[in-house]
Amino acid sequence: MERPDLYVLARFLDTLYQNGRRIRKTNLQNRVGLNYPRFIEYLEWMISHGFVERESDETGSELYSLSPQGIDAHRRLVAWIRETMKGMRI
Amino acid sequence: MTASTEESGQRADQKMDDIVRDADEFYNNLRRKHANDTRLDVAVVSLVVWFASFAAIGLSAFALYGREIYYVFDAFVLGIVIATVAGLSTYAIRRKRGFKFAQLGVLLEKMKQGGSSSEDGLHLMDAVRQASLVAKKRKMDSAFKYGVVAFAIVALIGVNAAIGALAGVIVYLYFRFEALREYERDEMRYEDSKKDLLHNL
Repeated sequence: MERPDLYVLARFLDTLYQNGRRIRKTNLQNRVGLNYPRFIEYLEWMISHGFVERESDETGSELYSLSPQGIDAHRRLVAWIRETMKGMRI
Repeated sequence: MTASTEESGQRADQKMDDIVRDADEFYNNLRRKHANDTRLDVAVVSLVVWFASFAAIGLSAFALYGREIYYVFDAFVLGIVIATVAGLSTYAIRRKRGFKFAQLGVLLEKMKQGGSSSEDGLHLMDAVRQASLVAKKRKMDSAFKYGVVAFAIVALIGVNAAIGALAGVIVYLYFRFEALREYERDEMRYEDSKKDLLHNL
């Protein structure tokens, strides 16, 4: 993926941040509201950038959670929104 | 979550509240500005329409029925009636245009109720950006008004319409250029910062 959509990234980060715990792939896909191929594309991108951690539970199901780097990315995204809005004047 | 990530999360939540507060301030300024612009537009339109009606009706009456002083009074009163209608129409049109920013107000209300996410923040930022672009477009419209004022002043003082027109065109082009430059600079800054964010995330 060359240039991910900022809204989709924000949705991923929000969902995982607000959930606070590990989440199953299907639940995550439902919450971010993407079709499966697109969801996998974004998920892989986020894992490759270290924002999301993949683990397996005792039944072998894949669980996903936000890494410390992902939490930092969420904080930076919010900080960027604030800074950008500060520069907007009537 | 570790202590540092929890602290990072709290900072993000605090910043979201700050974003909502900033946007609220922006929205209130926008509403105040819209109300002031509406009053100014109503006053200018009413005055221009009154003067035009007064002159047109008065001169027509003089030409058709002879020079009677009560025609001046009649033209004056009719001019006021027509100007009032024009002013009210301008007010109604401007009020209708005011709904352009309603989306921003709705989004703000939703975010004030709590539980706002960074995606909401992005939507809010886009709504604020759209409002900001509309304000910048108005600055380009203002360039025309400045040009007309410059034309009137220079033509009156210099008693020369050609020099007045030249001054008007120069003033119009200057203010338009400045407004466009500001718009393009803001756009470039926004796109660059977006690219930087995606690159540095």
